[in-house]
Amino acid sequence: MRSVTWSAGPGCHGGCGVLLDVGNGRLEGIEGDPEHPYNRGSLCPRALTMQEYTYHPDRLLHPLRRVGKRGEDRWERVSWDEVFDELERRMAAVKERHGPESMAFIQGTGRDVGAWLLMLAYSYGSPNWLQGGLTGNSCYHPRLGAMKVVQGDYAVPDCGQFLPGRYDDPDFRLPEVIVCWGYNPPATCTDGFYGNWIVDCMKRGTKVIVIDPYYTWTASRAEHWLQIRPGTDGALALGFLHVIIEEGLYDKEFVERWCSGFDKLRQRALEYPPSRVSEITWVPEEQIKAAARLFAAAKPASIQWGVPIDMCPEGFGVAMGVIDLWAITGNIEVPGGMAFAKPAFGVWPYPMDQESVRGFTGNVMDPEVFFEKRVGTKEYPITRNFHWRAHSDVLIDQIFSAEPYPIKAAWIAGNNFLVDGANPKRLLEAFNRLDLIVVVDLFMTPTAAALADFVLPAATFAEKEGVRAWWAPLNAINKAISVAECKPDSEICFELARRFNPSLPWKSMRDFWESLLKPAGVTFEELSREQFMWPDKADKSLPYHRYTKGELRADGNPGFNTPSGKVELYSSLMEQWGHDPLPVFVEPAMSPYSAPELAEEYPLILTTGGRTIAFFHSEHRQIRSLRQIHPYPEVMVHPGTAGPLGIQDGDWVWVENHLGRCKRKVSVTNLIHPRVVAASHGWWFPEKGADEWFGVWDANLNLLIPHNTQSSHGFGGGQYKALLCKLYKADGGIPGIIEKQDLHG
Amino acid sequence: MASQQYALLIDFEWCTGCYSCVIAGRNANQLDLSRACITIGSGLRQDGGRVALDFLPEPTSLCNLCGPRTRRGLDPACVHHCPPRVIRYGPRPELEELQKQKPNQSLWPI
Repeated sequence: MRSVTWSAGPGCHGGCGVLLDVGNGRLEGIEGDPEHPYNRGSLCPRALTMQEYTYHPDRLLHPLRRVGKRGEDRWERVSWDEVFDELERRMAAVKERHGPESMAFIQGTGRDVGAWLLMLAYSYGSPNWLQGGLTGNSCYHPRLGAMKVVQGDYAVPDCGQFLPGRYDDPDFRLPEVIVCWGYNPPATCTDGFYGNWIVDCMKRGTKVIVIDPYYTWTASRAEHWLQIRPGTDGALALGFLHVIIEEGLYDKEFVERWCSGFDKLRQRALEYPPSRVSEITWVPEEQIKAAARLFAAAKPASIQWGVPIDMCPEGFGVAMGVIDLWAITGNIEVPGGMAFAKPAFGVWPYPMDQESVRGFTGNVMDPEVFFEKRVGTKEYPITRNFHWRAHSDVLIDQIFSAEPYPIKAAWIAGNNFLVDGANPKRLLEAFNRLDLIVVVDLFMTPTAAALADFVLPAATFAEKEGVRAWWAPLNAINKAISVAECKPDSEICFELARRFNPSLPWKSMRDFWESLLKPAGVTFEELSREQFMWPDKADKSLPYHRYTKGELRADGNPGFNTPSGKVELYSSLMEQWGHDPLPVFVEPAMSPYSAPELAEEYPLILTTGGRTIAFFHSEHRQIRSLRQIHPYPEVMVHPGTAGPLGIQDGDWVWVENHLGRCKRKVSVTNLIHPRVVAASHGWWFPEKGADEWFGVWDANLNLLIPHNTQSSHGFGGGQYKALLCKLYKADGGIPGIIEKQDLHG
Repeated sequence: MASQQYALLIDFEWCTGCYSCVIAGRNANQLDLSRACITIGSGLRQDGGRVALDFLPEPTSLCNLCGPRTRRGLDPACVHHCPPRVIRYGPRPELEELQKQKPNQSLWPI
């Protein structure tokens, strides 16, 4: 059966075409679909271990109700009917006593959960739908916000993904240069972008510029590798702008005709000559100039970026600087440049902005309720003016303060914030105050084990029906199998949404799909049969040059979807909202320059969140085939740093700062700067058992990461990438975890 | 004898070390975790002024060139699933010719 991956299974946001081999109702194999333009037959190890994942003995198979104390790991099996009835009753009680806004609906990253949680939250009456535990909402949303205010739409590097013929399509042009900015293509496919598309381009001749604190495979094939000091990306963007503007390397015609605020941008960039930027970023001055010149001369060129941008102090403003780079060099909406990404046919299976939110709720909530009561709108106007989710840090504060209203319950779907959220012990304390916590997941996680009152078993992509259009083509997710009592999030949320809002305009999820697919002019059955469909090339959901054709603005005029119709290098919206309208650099709060006294005790810069293709965030640690690829939670240390500390490759060390410590296994490597240590995130140990919360604190770097570090306007600034720490040898490893040799048996 | 005439040609310049080939091969040949029909080594290579970090896929003695798949007209599992498409399957003389056309490729007659 043909389908497309999204969410549980490989875990990611990707949309790889797959052929699912089903026999006697069981998944017997998985192959990449060679006909599918997204992955053209290839698959990553996580998709290839789909069978191991689906039938893993630890998989949650039935709804569970807690019988012991919270966190004691004592549960009883309950039926879906019983659990729906009880949740309806208990959620209604919360609503009656404290108001519906006192229940928060929490998802993790952008998966096939968001829309259904939104539907449930709004049907229940709560505007508080969010990514919980992610301080500063620092994952893509600052970049999305910055793209919205500067250029009106979201852009992604064009690697032919919007064309059926891909690289061979006559309308495609190979990018001359792609900048990989805090992003390593082979390690991760972010935000609907398949990482290997960049490798495909490199093979065809695209040059890459890599901005990364460590020397990756991609860096080793790059024209320029800029070994940036973590957290200083804002200065580098301004340094590039300085070179490009002062040397006259920008696209003068595009800037004159389609941009506003250029002179003000120039004034800001003038503050950042390469010599100053070099001091800040530790990147040699000549390299800054050479990289800027190469990028500016390339026609076309693109930039693929990662969360390190969001996680800089004032991450929103840092993203504005990067956007300005592709804007003033004339790379917007040109083949091989930065394409505005829109869901195929205008079908939105995931809410990506405030306007699309209504499609999932049937206008059930008074706009005044979601604008006024959504957590964070008073503190951070962007939460009201641009964003469509509640603010993560403010929610936690509000759990403690109960002001302006109490938070009493939470629905947590596919979010393991005790492992991945900043300052997780505070998150534990906060959520322990709630009266009702429902966790929906595929495996018992530390977060579920510690906090849940109910645990509901979710389905993999192979066990559900759905629609994916992130971005093109439009895909049917075809249900191939069922596993025990596991249910897709869509079905779980729909059932309760229906109970709380009898006037929900859809009678079933199938009914919802039919209404969602209307802009494409197909039924679900038709799409399901085709598996994927392309809009006509002239459809305005596809690039290029739409700003010249009046296809971006509601008024149909040429230009961009900004107040002025121009690319606003000086953002009128940011000015109106009282924020800096120009790109910014702010020194990380925990650095040798900003906190020299702290740095005496903790002299090393710690950067976290290093990705590997074997795991998606905190998932897959129980999948032995994947664990074999990366058995241990590691920390990368330069030999010149390890030596004087008496630390050798393979030693277990404590990574510690004033906030906390955790254990890591040392990988001594000269791929990293001597003053920086780097570590992957998301570690817990399923083999340790739920009663121990799976060793949630053992290797948890988030213990060293503060909360409430969001930027002045609330977006960006989650301090995951630029911290201070020290290392010292530990007495031993982590007892009870799988050792490398166990994985070869 | 027939299998002697076929081979794998691996362009290790573009191998990203993702392990898809290892897992796909295990799936195809139903191998447990202790065994693999292809493994990935690593190495450093001087490439102009820079040092290239290389991953080096190497078929093992368990590689049978996915006979059951190729007889059905499919590519071997590693070839089919490799994201950067660095593994090529074909008649050995043809691959030997291709090997001459580009450096940093290794030929594996099986």
